[in-house]
Amino acid sequence: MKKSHKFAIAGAVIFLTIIALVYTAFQQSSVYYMTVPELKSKGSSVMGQGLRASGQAKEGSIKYDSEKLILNFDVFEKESPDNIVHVTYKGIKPDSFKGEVEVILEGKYDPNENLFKATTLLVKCPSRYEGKTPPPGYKNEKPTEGGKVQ
Amino acid sequence: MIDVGRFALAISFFVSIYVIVVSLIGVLKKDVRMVASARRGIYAIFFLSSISVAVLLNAFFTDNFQVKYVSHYSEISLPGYYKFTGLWAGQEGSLLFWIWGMAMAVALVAFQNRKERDHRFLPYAYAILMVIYAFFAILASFMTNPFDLFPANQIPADGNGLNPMLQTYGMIIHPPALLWGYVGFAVPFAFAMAALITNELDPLWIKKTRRWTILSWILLSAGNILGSEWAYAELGWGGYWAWDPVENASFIPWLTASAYLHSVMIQERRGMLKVWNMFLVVVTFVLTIFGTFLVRSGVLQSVHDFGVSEMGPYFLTFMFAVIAASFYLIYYRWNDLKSDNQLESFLSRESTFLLNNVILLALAFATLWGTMFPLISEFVTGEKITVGPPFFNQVNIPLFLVLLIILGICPLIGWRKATAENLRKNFILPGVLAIVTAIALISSGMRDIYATLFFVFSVFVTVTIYMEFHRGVRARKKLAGEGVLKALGSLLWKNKRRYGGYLIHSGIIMIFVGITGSSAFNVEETQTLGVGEGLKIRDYTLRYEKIYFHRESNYDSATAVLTVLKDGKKQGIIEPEKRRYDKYAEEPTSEVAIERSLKEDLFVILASIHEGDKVTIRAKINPLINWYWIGGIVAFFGGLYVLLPEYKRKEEAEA
Repeated sequence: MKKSHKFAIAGAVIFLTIIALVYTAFQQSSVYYMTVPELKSKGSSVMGQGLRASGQAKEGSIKYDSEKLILNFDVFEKESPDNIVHVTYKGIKPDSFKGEVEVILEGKYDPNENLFKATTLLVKCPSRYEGKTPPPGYKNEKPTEGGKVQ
Repeated sequence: MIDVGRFALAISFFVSIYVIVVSLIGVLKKDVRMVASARRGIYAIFFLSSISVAVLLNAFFTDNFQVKYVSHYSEISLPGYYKFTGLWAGQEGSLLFWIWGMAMAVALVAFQNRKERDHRFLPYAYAILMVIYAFFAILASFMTNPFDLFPANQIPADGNGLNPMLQTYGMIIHPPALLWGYVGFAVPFAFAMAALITNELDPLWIKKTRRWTILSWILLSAGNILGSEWAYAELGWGGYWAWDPVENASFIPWLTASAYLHSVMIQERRGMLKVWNMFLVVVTFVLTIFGTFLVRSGVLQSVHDFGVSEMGPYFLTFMFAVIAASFYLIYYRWNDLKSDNQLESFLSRESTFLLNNVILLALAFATLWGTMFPLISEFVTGEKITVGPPFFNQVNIPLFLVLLIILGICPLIGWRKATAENLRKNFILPGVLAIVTAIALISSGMRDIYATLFFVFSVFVTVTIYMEFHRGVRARKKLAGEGVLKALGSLLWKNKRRYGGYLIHSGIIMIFVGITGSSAFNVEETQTLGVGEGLKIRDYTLRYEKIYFHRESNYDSATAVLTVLKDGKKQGIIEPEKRRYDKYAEEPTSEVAIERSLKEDLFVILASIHEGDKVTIRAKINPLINWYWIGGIVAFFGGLYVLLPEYKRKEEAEA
């Protein structure tokens, strides 16, 4: 066999291994990212799967047990404020968490109880700048993360 | 006064157009005076952009809140050194800072080559650098101008203040390092493209840009590591890397830059991989632009909103133009980019370099894929699919392991073709010590496969690096009859590239050790405590003594005092803090307390304060993490060492 063939085969093997590595990791760890209405309409098809979901925390629904570190609240999407999903999260309540803040949740959804069991809670910081709609480029550097960023 | 800054910036744009025109005329008409004029234009641009920066800084220090940018990122009570950082706290300012860095880099290039008359690629390189400059200058002058003013009757009395998360020492160095790292890569890119245009493809352009490549790489590395130190000490979630899009954006060009740094050595030495190097230099440059775009445009940082920034389309257009033009040039010169030599054997240093390149590119690809996938999937299927840290870890950890192994094997294998005997001789000592380490780790109860492998190969690589030094010193002792220290000194002095490189590799090993220890063996506890109660974490107990409140210039603070007991013995006190900045009262921030040692960090956060002075405390132990920072420092100095002027007499004799 010619040397150049050998190198070509070695290269192909390495390339395929890397593709396989990316592919399997992707199969195992990719998750759907849904809004609250999407959760409710497609919820039963993703039962037991890891999910990401976004929504706004409902004012008045927030209950926090600071001894056991359990946070319960409801989330909704701006367009349909009455369409809610209950959330339970075990961990520290992030400082910036309060009614009406936008949150990103990671965890699993149980459509029977309409309950999202969150393992991660990220709070998107409300805009700190002028006006109600922040001009482009004035977004905060990073969302704060419940139990992570405070 | 502010108008001076605005005009200087705008004029610099027109000067850059002038430079583009005269350098092209100069090179086409072979008119040296034109090129000289272009060079003076470049100096003028540096002068003009410096004025702009000075004006903006002056506005920060004089609390000129009529300037919108200043009012957004500063306030009267902000400490002076943080007013300085306001320059790069937001989009407009960081763009101006980028421009200024670019102007400085080009001015330096022009100055370095001021006596050069023979090479046609220089004027082209100036023109290309000025095209890049002009693009950013247009954006800064006409799209997001840092000198925009409020109307005279609407000047705010005080500014909005700087985001508290940016009010930390790390933020003074991290952004400039990263931005300058990005800027620096424009130089090798421009030279490479110029060499393609003029068909002067001998390694001269590589020699001329070698220091720029290394300097940019050092700055990129420092920027990344300082950024993770910032995340660790300031964001307070106990880690330092989360595969966040913003982090990935600066990590991906670092990977391709590292690949380029290595493969270009093969081109210099063996005249191979010419197309590949061109490809890498283009990709790295585009990725630095892409990084700037990702971080500042709001495409991904807002986690799910796409495209709020009006700059997005301009950046994308620019990137595609760069890619199209440079790939066309590579295609156009394809036949002139043929290799002078072929790979001769799997067991050669060339092939380990090549494998290193493949792995680094695979890391870059996987990271880019994971970062961009939510956008791609939504665009293609309408459904948003995301990947988190598990994806990046699952793909990248094995790749990093391979990279570590190559790092150890590479110096053991000679150029072109290694013999079996030479391999056996070189592998015995590191191999044996690695096996001993493996046995020791497993018998002491370590069960984490990856962690064990990383530690074992770290030992392997460390031994190979030591052997390199040892062999060199022994040879000099014999040859020159020098003592050990003198031999080591002259070895290091006369082969800066080689031994500086090994120094960088030692730093990388320490970084691997730090990452492995802290990610595989950390422990964490969270508990709500009343005064006098204790939180137990491994062999530590943290006893909550009291909480006190105080006031600083622009924030209120609450500090919990905890006594640290290790195995019942008092070690000292630790004081995590919570702050409420005046301008950000809605969002309190945590100041982490960290007890650092070479063995481990004790990381304590005051998570929340309840009635009756009860507090929730989160504590974490991060083993070996300080080797991550130490490794970063070692690699940094290794890089600086490589940058020192080379020893002239036997330049070709190294390696």
